[in-house]
Amino acid sequence: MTAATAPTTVPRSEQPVLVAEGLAKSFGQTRALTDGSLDVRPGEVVALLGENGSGKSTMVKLLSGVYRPDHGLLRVDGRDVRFASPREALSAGIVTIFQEILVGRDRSVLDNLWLGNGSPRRSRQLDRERRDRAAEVWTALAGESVDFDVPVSELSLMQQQICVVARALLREPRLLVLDESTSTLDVSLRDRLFAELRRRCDQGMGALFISHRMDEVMTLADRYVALRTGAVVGTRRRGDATSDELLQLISGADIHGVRSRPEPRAIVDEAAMTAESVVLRAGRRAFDVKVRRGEILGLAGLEGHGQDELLRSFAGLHTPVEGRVHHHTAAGVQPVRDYRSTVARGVVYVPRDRKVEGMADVLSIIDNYSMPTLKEDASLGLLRRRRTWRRFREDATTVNFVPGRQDSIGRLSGGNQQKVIVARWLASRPDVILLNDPTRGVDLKTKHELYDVFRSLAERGTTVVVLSSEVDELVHLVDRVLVFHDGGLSAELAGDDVTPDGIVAAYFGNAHKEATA
Amino acid sequence: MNSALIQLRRNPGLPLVVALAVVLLIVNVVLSPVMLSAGQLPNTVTLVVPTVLATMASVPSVMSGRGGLDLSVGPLLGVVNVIVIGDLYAHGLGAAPVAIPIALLIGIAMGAVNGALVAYGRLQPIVVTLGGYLVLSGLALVLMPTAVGDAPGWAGWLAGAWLSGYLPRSVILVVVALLVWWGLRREGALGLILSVGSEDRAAYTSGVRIRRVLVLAYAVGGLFAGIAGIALTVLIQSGDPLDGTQYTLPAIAGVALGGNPLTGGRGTIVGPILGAVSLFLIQTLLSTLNVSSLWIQVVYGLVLLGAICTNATLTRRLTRPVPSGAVA
Repeated sequence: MTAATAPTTVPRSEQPVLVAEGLAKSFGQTRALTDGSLDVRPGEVVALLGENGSGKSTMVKLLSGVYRPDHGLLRVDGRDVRFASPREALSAGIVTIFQEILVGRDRSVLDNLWLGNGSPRRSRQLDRERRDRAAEVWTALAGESVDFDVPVSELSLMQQQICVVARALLREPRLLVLDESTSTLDVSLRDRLFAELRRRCDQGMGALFISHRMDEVMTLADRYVALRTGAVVGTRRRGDATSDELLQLISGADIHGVRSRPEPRAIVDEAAMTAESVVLRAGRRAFDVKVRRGEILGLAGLEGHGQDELLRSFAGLHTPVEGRVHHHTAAGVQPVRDYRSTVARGVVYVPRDRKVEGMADVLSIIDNYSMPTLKEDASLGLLRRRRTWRRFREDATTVNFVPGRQDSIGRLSGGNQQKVIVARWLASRPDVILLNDPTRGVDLKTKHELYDVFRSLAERGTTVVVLSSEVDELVHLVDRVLVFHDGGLSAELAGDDVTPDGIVAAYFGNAHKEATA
Repeated sequence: MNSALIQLRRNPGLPLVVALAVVLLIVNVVLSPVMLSAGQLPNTVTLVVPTVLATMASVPSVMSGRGGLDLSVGPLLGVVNVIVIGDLYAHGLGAAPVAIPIALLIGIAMGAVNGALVAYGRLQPIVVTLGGYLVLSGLALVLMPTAVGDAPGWAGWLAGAWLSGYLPRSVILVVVALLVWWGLRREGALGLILSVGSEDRAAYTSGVRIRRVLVLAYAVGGLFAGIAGIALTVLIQSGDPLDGTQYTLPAIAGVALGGNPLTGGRGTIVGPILGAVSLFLIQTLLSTLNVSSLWIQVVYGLVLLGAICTNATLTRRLTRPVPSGAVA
């Protein structure tokens, strides 16, 4: 297609936008990347695949000028480059959207969109031009514009993500690097983003795309580059490999039946938590939810359709417009009023944004682990560290966690951080565990390890409620799923009805039967 | 959306300090009308100008984030004053075209050194500027062990007034600083300082040269401190190695009272100016009421705490926090 639209010029596909050869980077003893080699041609979307710790993030940081390579070559449009800072990478045309949403929260949306792009000078005319350009790009991405004058802190997480994507596109990149940049977007926004990427690529842009969502990768990429333990281990063209083959290439092992449903389990019809006549948005129809003891219940929906409110209502962190939420314990039925008393009864909530709500960055792994349960290790007013260690050893084994306990948690990969946080709540032996998108930004292998943990928890009688933005995850993990649409309950799927098609149809408010018929 | 409304939502402390300054002004005028009479007005203003400028000097470093409290502002006023009187004027170099640029350059240089240590040395601003505080306080005493009582003619001129005594000339110094500020805003430097203060990683990965921006922020603070040093010279009409240091804490208190968060990334220049004026008016009010000067600091502290508590409450009420995972 690219060649067809530009027949008179030199075929653009001959000269890659980016060539990386043998990039290597070590941190002390740790060899983060040993052989980073790939190329991206104009018009092409290349997916960089790999588990956490395989060197993807290091690769991205080398390309974006955040790190300088120890060895290796980098060529942009045929010229050798060496980036001393992100500024230099940007001026060479490599624009990166980082995994973390980096915005100046106090600054206006417009300021954030043009941050570091062009002259910082202000004038009426410049301001008008910038507004128009920004509105164009924003509308292309989101379908509607936004008030550019409000501080970014007033935007939703999803809009903040759009903000960083739009900021990158406003730079008219030669090569756009997307590091897990779709994780907060709902399906319709993601599709818009992909369409915009395609359009840009047809005009000669190259894209390097990183995602943990296999369905996204399969939809978008023209070529797949697999990284394993710091080195590129293989490249496949679109159509040359199935997603299972790619997963095999990434992990070096066989992952069977990624989409298979779990064995149906016998679940006693006994309530663990109930929500009666709940209304999440004024004017929507009330509904009832019964969470059964020992089941894994999924909550799903496009972002912002009510699933988040319901999950937090179970934790006492949100009050529905109408209706009552109860926790059924051996001692009787307790109303859920606030988080503190709910936690005390054994209901724990694992937040989505672990960086902000879930962990103390600078503390060690073991401190992060033991935070809420430390009093168990005290006797006669003294803290027995040995007891904490013993508990940690046990719970860490459960979640299959390897690194040392004294390291700072901030240095762990996202997947390992999440393991520590899950282990922390295992330590409190919860009655009900409420998980808010627990595997966001976690690599596939770790995801499956976490699923095993959740399942064994459920086996032992803990009730698991998991909000997930990933269809595959729901299919693979839950016994039953509630899908939300526009603040109301759109579908309840159980057993063999939990299929990708059924869930996605319900995302958009279509009844399951009609969608699959 | 209306831009004034947005400004207000982003700086919820601003109306508070405006109200505080207006109320204090009215109370002062009622209790002591002489303060704003033609005869007294220029003196009153000259008295408040060094505090206003010292507060302005604290603003950019605070805005640049990382807990950018500049403790060296006060002593820097003193050093500028001591050099202008003791070294320049005493050796015949006291003429305005010579002494004033040198004073400003000293300010810029000191600020830039602080900024470079913070930005390139990756040191904490409060430690760096505490070092600066000690060095500069000591330096002032080394350069001028005891106060010297004489000042060049321009200093006397600036202390006077125009328009039959109603327009104090010392205001020129504040206007100059405000023009510099306006230029920074226009050229986008202020926006960069605020962006770095808001999230320096976002700025860095977007290609902003954050270390230069930090040095700039501290250098601008230094420039304002230099102007404040001139204002101090105008006020005391002499050289005094100890006078500058006492502006250290009011300069920071003025910023906080003005509604600028000490965490950076946000804020105005008008707020801190009014904060400094309010601090001054509290002082005059107390002396009008014959309250012992020993109480002044206690009252300062209480007003400051009250203002910060109100600010925090207003900020929480007016700016919608978006918890992660929440919906727009």
